[in-house]
Amino acid sequence: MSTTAMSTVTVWTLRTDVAPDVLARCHDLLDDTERTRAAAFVHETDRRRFIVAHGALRLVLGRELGVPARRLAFTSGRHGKPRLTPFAGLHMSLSHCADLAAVATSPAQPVGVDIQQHVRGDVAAMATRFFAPEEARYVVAAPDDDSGVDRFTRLWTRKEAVVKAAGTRLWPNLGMPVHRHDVVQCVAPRGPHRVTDLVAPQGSRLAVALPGAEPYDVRVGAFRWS
Amino acid sequence: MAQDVETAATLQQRIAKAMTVLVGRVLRSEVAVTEDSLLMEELALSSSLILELLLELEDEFEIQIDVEEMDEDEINTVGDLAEYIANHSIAR
Repeated sequence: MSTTAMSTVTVWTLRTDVAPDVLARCHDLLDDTERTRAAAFVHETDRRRFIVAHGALRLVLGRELGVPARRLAFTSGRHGKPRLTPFAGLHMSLSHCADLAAVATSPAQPVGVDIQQHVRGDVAAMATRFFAPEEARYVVAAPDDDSGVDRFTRLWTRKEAVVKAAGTRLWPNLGMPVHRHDVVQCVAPRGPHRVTDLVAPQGSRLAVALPGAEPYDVRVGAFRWS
Repeated sequence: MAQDVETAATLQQRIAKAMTVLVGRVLRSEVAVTEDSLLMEELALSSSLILELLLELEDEFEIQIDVEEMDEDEINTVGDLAEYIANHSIAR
C-alpha cells in the first residue's frame, strides 16, 4: 500500500503596527514596484500596513527558501495574487486587514489565506443580500450583535481563502456556502477546496484553504522579526 | 434604446457623485475622493468595505446590483465602479 505525504501549509500571523525601525527595515526589503504601490496610498496608515505586510512576506519566503529577502522577485497574477518569479517551488498567499496580517506558504499546491478584523456595517443586511440563504439565516440568528459580526466575519474569511486558493474572483463566489462543511465547492471555476478556520487574534477571524478535498496539516505561528 | 443609454449615463454620474461621499463613510475617515481615485491602490478599500459600499448604494438608489461580473482587474477607480454599477443594476 502506498502512502502519500500529507500537504503542509504554514501560516504566520503578525501585527503591522510596528516600531519605526522595523518599518524602515521592511521598506528596505521592497523592490521598486512595491515602493511605488506603497507611495500611492492616501493614508499613511495604509502605507505602513502595506510595507510591513510585504516586508514580512519577503522575510517568510526568504527564510523558507534560504534566499536573501531583498532578492526575491514577484509578478502580480490575475486578481492581484503575487507569485514568485522564478517560481522556486513555493506557493504563497498574503492577507492584511487593519493592523493584522497573515502569510501562508505551501510547497505542493496553491494556497489562500485571509485574515479579517471583525467586519463593520450591517452584517445581517449584507449576509441577507449577498450570501446563500442558509448562511444569511446563520448570521441573522446569532444571539447578539457581537456574535453576528463574528459569524459574518468567519464566513467572509472562508470565502476569501477559497477564492484566493482557486486564484479566482470573489464576486461570483459570494453565494458559495462555506458555513457547514470544510470541503466547499467553488462556483467559478468549479471544484472542491478544503478550508480550515485557524485561531486568530481576538476580534478577528483567520482561514486558510487549499484546492482539493484532501486533508492537510496546518502549522500556525506568530511571525518573529528576528 | 437611446433613452436607455441616456438613463445609464445619468445614473452613472449620480452614482459616482454619491460614491465620493459614501466611500469616506465606509472608510470611517476624512478623505478627498474623486471619480479618478483608485479604490484599492490609493484608498485601500478592501473587498468587505466594497460590499458595504454596494449595499449603501443599493439602498440609496433603490437598485439591485449584479455583482457576479465584477472584476477588480478591470474596476480600478471610483468612476469604473460607478460605470459597472450603472450597467449591471436593475431598479427594485
